[in-house]
Amino acid sequence: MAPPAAGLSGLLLLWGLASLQLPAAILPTPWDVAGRLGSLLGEGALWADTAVTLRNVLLAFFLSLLGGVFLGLGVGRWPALGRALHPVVVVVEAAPHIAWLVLAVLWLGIGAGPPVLVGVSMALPLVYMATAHGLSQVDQGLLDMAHVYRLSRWTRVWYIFLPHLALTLTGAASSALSVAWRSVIMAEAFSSDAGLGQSLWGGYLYGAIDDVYATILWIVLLGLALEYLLIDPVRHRIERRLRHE
Amino acid sequence: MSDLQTEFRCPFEDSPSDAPDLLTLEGVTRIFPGGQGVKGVDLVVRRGEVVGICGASGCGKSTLLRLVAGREHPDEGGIRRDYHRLGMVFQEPNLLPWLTALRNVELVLSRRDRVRALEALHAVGLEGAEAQYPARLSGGMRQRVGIARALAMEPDLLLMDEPFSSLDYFTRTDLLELVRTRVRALDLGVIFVSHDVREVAHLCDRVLVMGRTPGRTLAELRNPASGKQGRRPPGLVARFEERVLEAIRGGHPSAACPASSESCPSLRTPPEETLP
Repeated sequence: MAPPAAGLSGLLLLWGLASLQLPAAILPTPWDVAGRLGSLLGEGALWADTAVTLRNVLLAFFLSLLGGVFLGLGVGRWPALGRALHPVVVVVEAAPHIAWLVLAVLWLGIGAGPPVLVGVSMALPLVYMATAHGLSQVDQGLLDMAHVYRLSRWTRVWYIFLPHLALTLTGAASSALSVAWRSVIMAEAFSSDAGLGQSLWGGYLYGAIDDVYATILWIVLLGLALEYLLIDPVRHRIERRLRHE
Repeated sequence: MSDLQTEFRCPFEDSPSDAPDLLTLEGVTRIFPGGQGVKGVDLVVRRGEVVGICGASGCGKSTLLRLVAGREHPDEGGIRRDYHRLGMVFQEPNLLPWLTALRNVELVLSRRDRVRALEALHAVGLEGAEAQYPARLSGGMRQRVGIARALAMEPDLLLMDEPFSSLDYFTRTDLLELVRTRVRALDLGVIFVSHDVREVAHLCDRVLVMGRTPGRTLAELRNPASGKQGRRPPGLVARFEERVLEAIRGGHPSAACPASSESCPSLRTPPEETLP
């Protein structure tokens, strides 16, 4: 059995064993939750929330990717900018999700804005730091070669910096998507009138524990799908194209 | 002056050449924190000659090449560049791992001239390896791509920074012969940096022997086998190798030379100076 499948099976087994010892109001069985998930998907309500969350997560992810790479490139070009940004990055990273959430609701009101802003605030520093670090790690020998052969700026960016960054960023993108996924859903619970986070929190408030677990299971499955169906293929494709080992 | 002195012509002394100067270093100094670097180095490289720079580790050989390549700037002294195109073979081949051998060579050519890139690869014996990525090539083949890249652009001056140091004996011998043949055929000026005296004696017409901390010229020796067509006479090469070794160790370059160390033009030991 492949390691990811073995890990998941082990988790399900543990859940099943624990649920037999605990009341259903605390921990329903995996098969009850799976059944409830099937019903929710069949009813259609979960699909609408899923679409909202996916939109928020992907928006936060791509904004983080764009902003992080842009800032990282700026720091690579002007190191003084990196020193100026350092305290800002520390503050952003140190602030808890809830602090960003409160500020986002104050600034943007209830809706899609706060989840996206919280997602960006958590994911962008990861991409920015990976970009800045990646640029600082570009092989000095390749830069010497580019200098001696007077390669144009465009050639250096296209053939040296971008491939190098692509390799660095695939790892960072995976982390950024994971962080955006978690923080957006958390923010939706308290600042949005739609989305999986809001659905989850609503289920808890109304005491629909099966719904809560079914939504959590759905969130986990979607997170895995994003990782294995979106990020992993892109990462493998980039590595195959660039490493040739 | 005695007969012996008038008749004697030191085989290691530099001789004037009509070939145009490609590069002139005058009193070039570049000192890094900690005292490493080079101090007061003079050097002229002419078209068609291979100048070796030899010395123990830390004598500033690579710094000198970085100064010539423009990757470092001198604290003192001047560098006059009279060449149009510069090529370089690095210690590591410095190939882009995401490009094939052919594309690596094409990259440095104007208008990505594929025909010339192919010719350059074939000239270094890489027929059939054009579409291979660097990770699939052996160390020797990667270095051949680096040599092809440097020669494809038809440089006037070629810099070689310990290009064979990471290769095995047989590959090194092959590549040394390849470089010697190609360089002669293309009539380039070459600066060949190495700590391997055998390589230097085999390839170079003239050798700058450097001492360390900071790097400075200990001696400048002419190879008596220089200018010989075809394979260089092993006896002459071996003799020259000995002289270079002696100079590195601080001895006089020629036991047979009647000149005193003060008057020998091939042994220029700068006076000790206090570092700034």
